[in-house]
Amino acid sequence: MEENRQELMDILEETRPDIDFEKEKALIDDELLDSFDIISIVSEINDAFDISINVNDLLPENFNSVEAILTLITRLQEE
Amino acid sequence: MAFFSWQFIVFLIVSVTVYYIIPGRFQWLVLLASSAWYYLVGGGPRAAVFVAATVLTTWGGAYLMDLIAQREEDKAMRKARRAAAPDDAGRTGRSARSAKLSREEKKALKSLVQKKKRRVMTAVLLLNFGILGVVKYGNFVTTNVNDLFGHFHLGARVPVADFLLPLGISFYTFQSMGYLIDVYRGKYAAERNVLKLALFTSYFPSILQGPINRYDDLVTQLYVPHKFDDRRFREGLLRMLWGFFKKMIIAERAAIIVNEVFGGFEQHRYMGFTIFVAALMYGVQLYADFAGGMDIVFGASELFGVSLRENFRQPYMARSISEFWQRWHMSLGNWMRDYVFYPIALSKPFAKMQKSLKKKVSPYFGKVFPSFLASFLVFVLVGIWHGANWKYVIYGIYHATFVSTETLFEQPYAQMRKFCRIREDAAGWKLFQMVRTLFIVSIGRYCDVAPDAGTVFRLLRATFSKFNPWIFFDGSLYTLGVDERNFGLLILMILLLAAVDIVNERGQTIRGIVASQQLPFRWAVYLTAIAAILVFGMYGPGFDMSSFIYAQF
Repeated sequence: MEENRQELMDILEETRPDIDFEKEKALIDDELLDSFDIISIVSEINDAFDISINVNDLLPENFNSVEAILTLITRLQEE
Repeated sequence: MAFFSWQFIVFLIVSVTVYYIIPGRFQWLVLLASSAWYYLVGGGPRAAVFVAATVLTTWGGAYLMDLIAQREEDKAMRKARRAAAPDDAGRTGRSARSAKLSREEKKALKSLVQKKKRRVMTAVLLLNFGILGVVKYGNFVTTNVNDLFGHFHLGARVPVADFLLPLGISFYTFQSMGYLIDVYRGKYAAERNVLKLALFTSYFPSILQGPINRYDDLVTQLYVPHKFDDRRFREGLLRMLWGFFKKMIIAERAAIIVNEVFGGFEQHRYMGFTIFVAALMYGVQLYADFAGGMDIVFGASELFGVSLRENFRQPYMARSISEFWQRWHMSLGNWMRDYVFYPIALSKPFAKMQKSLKKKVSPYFGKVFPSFLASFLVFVLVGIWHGANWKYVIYGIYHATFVSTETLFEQPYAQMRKFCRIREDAAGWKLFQMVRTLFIVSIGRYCDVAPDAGTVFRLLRATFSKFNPWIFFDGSLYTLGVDERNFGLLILMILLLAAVDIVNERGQTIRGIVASQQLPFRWAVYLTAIAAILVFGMYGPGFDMSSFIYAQF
């Protein structure tokens, strides 16, 4: 889990170095991430964790915080 | 029924009165009856058949998708139970009752359900976008095919059918299809009550010119009882007044200059800054007309206690074209993002392309190119959404180029700024970015005002082939249909509009401030606004308030 978290943080921080991902809990609702960021983050996550996040998973509640994204990754890894 | 007409005002008063005197659980039926009445009067029975077709197919399709999911799940569970109690299929033993699907079975079930649901969704999408396509683009396609036949001297001709566009068809089709796709994606369950879905589709404040509502925004508001909330009611009324003010005083005045210059630019040889001023005025007209129309829509909806999601956020304060589109007609942009951009950008061919570009070109290029391509396609589509004409295809490509290259060239742009020692947070740089965005947007609108693609290029040539800054001083601006007094008033009102936008950008609203004041002050504001609309509003015998620009899309 901790390993996943670090890998995810690396992806997020590389895409948007200006956002404090530890602190922000409403990345989508507060419009901190735009659609281009989402696409780039999703493709990096898919590669790094060998999962396939599809368009049905693109709900705000799955991307609002690091914890939410981690939960999504874990769920898809288990499926 | 025009928004600015006695019929509409009487209709609204009757509708609101009945809404608040009958028991809460029937309120939504008043909204449905009002919407049906509004649409029948405005669009006629023929147009109502189109809405009814959309309602029925969307309701049926979504319901069917839910039934399929339920039935397949039941089937899979029965099978699992049978497997758990193989000795006696009729008796469900303890182990059979607690039977669970294995991970593989769950996966197989999910994929089977998605496959079956996809078939239903595709059929409903094809039918509804098919209807939209035929009534909106049928004429365009047949004319172009005939031109092509003519070009190759072929005798064949496709019959040209000229359809009258059913009122608000783009808006309610997009809205309903968004709902259908969300049900397919499992975002929420399908609405069981066909009348409730009919209200969602035809909710009268927003059927003419949007916004494109989302079902999950409205489901918690449309069908629940509402108590009369006087503060909310006041804010709604004030918002409607502000909308009329924008439309009648600003948009209609700016329209005179726009029509004069773009209508007669070849005849009167308008050149250089004259055309550019008219393009800026068109920007003002469009904003005051569309956002003013939205204020009336949102205000009217507020009277019934239903808040719609905003469609504009101070668009002229955008610092880039992509930011402009995040602030202008936001409901269309969000629709395109959720139902076109994401599915394309996350599709399998795009994922494959991304992987191969990362390897073959560079990791950065592989990362941004799919988004670049997907956004390019979306903007071409937004262009075509505006109308069946080649000029709108150019319009789409024009915006697509700016939006998509912003990402693609992000790194070289950043290096350039560094080289020129530009501080990104400096006020001067921000102002420059806003002016630059306004310039690009204004030029793009040539596609909107010109009757055809050829005129767009002639207008561009006329704008940039003459440098005539003296028109700002020699009074020639007052010869474009609006005299000096009215021109001054227009400029003053534009400044007022800008001031309100600046207040809004800081997170406050004027109507919130006014609505919380004492009664005499509030009424002074209402009466002044009504008087201003009546005195300075542009209307006459030939004036048609129903002709909001965006209602035609």
